[in-house]
Amino acid sequence: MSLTDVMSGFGLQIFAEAGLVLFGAAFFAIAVTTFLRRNREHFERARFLPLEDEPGARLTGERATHE
Amino acid sequence: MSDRVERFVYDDQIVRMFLLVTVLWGLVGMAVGLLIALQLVLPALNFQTSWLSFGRLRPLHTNAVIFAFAGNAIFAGVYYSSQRLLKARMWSDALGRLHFWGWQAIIVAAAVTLPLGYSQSKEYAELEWPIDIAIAVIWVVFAANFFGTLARRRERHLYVALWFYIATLVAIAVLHIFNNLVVVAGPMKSYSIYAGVQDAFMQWWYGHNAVAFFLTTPFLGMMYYFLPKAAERPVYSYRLSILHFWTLVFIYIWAGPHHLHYTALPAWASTLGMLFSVMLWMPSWGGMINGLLTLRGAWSKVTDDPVLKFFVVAVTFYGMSTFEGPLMSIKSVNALSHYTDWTIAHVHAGALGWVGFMIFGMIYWLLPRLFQTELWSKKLAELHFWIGTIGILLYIVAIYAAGLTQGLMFRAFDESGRLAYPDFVETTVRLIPMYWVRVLGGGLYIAGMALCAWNVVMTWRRAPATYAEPVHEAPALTREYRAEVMAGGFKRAAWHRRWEGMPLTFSIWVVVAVVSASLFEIIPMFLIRSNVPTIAAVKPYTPLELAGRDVYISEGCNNCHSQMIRPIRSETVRYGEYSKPGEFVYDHPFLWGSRRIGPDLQRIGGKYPNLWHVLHMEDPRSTTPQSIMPPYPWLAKRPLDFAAVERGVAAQVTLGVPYTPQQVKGAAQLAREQGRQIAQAIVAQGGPTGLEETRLVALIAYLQRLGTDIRKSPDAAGGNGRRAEGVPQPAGRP
Repeated sequence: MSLTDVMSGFGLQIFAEAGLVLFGAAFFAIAVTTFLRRNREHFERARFLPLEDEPGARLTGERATHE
Repeated sequence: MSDRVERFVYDDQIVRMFLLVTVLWGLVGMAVGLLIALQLVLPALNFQTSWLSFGRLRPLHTNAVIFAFAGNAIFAGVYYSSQRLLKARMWSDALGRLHFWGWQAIIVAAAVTLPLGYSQSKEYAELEWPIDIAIAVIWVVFAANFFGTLARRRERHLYVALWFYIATLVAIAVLHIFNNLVVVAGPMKSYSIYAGVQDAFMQWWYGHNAVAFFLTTPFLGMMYYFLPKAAERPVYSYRLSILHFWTLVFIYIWAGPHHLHYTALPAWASTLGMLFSVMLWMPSWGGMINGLLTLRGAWSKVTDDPVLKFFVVAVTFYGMSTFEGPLMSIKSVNALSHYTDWTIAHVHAGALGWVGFMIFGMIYWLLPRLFQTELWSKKLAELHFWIGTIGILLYIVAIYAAGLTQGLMFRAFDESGRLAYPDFVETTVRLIPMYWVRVLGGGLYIAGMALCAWNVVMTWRRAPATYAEPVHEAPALTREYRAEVMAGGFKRAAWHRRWEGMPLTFSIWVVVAVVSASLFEIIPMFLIRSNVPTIAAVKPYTPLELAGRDVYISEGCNNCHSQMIRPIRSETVRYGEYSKPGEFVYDHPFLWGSRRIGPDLQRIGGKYPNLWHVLHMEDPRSTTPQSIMPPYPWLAKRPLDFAAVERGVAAQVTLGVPYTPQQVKGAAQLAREQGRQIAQAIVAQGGPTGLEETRLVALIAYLQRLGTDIRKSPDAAGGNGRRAEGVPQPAGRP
């Protein structure tokens, strides 16, 4: 009996659908975490990282944001 | 964070090197593209020369613009932005130089071997096994340098651009390795370990995700770095960028099967690919909106700044392409668009608009900073932007029109129920005016590229004799952070931002996302027997037919001809019985193709006498006056390598193709005998003599075999059926 026989017997046709549900759950968890209010300050600082080596960027850049 | 402040300088020399070759290879890759566009309207431009023929140059064009032009641009952008985002010099200057010279050597090897006909045939993965190994090694060098820099960084948080770079590094490694698993059959010859349906699935898992992780994620990383820099504004929404990243990584990897709708691929895989492709629209537009809204309050700068102009158009094309992609993945739309120029237009909207303009914007932004002088000519950059934009529009509008025209002509029936355009060449000739407009549009785009090259050279010439190396300062990171994370990050539901500070953990989760998403499709595809119903009459190719198949691959015939008849009435009426999964079980690699510049060849076997093929290869217009196919006069002059025939059969045995020991041992003799019979038939039909040991006869043997097995009874087919033990099943609709 080959591995193909064994795996075919498991009825893995729903394997892909199970993957879809798992990844949907992972997406939901990331979305919730991302928009938690307590993380706001952290993300606000991260937004400015590319501009940190630009003198005065934090002063002239847009500060009042939706974040 | 430590109180100890450290001083460091960035390695910008490596960025300058990658930027300069980006421009050089961009010119080369696009010039080859222009040549093959011209060959479609003026076949004489194939010059009756093997290494200048369309089938061999088309993969050179795609490989050059993807891996040389875009690839070097990615490396320039990653090396520049990573050092600054991590506040650290690249881990190793030596690894950087090895990466640079190794990658250029690979490009040169590709530029030599592809025109010489060394090809695996799989799109964007044509390069043969020695070069594939070199790519893997150099990619590891790049990864070691990148992750080494992450390890010694002075900025705790990994900015979102770096996440996209990490995804690129790990996903490309996985895709490249698994799509290029082969059995070696010679110094520059190999066969894919996968066959038929599974090989097609793996190829488009790779092909689609090469677009995702080579032409999308690294450029999104660069967008999240260079667009805020150019706009002098932070990214609009950092949270949106997080969702953008994870949804792309989760979803993109599943979408590949949409390239195989209505083929012999199982329907469940095709539907899954469509579903995830449609879902991709959301994160892609999230990214586009994030990019465009980053310019809030800075739109006035766009009118005066060519860098921002390039970025705005690039992001707009990203939005257009990522809307169109899901649209084309819907089966009913794909039934029309597949095999036509619609796909070519879609690809070029993304490649010229999104990738190309992101690169140009980045180049113009980097030039004054890298060469420490002003840009030589801002007006020239503005001119580049406008002729480039007009060039793209001319190109894609013409080719969209060509795609729709040909797609509709393929499926048109007249009032009597017959094909309205039964002669395939009618559908090709109708496209010629649109192909001329493409030449014009492509020519304008390349003219813009040349202006860019001129601006780069002139700016470079004004650079100081010695570059200043500004010294930067930042406190070192301490190791206490990791302990803090382990103490309770999850309880505080702040786990994601903890990951962002831990590159190893973050990278592992990216790998988990990419690999597990892949396995959810790959495992059922390979292990469920019902995916490929077998056909007892389908037998292995004879040694000469196998050699002819190698000639077909070497000449790049699959770039213009499909071997996949979909179960659509217009196709079965035009070409014959639709293709069954079981017909391809000995096809290492699969040769289904993705574009019909010429007709499908799945049922070409026995359709014409051997002499017709001789004349057709010598001069296609002698048999089909309006054909745009290149002539192949060298096939009748070049002898077949019978030692390679033996090696090929032996390699196929390694792959599980059931040749008998006698067939393996006598492969060359069997090939000679079949070649002699075909050559005799050609002479009997009034053709030339002396063809029996040529590459042409091998190719004719292969073409005459194509699609004929299912017309035979299992016993009459001869040979050894690989899956003779399986119950012959009627192959159903995919």
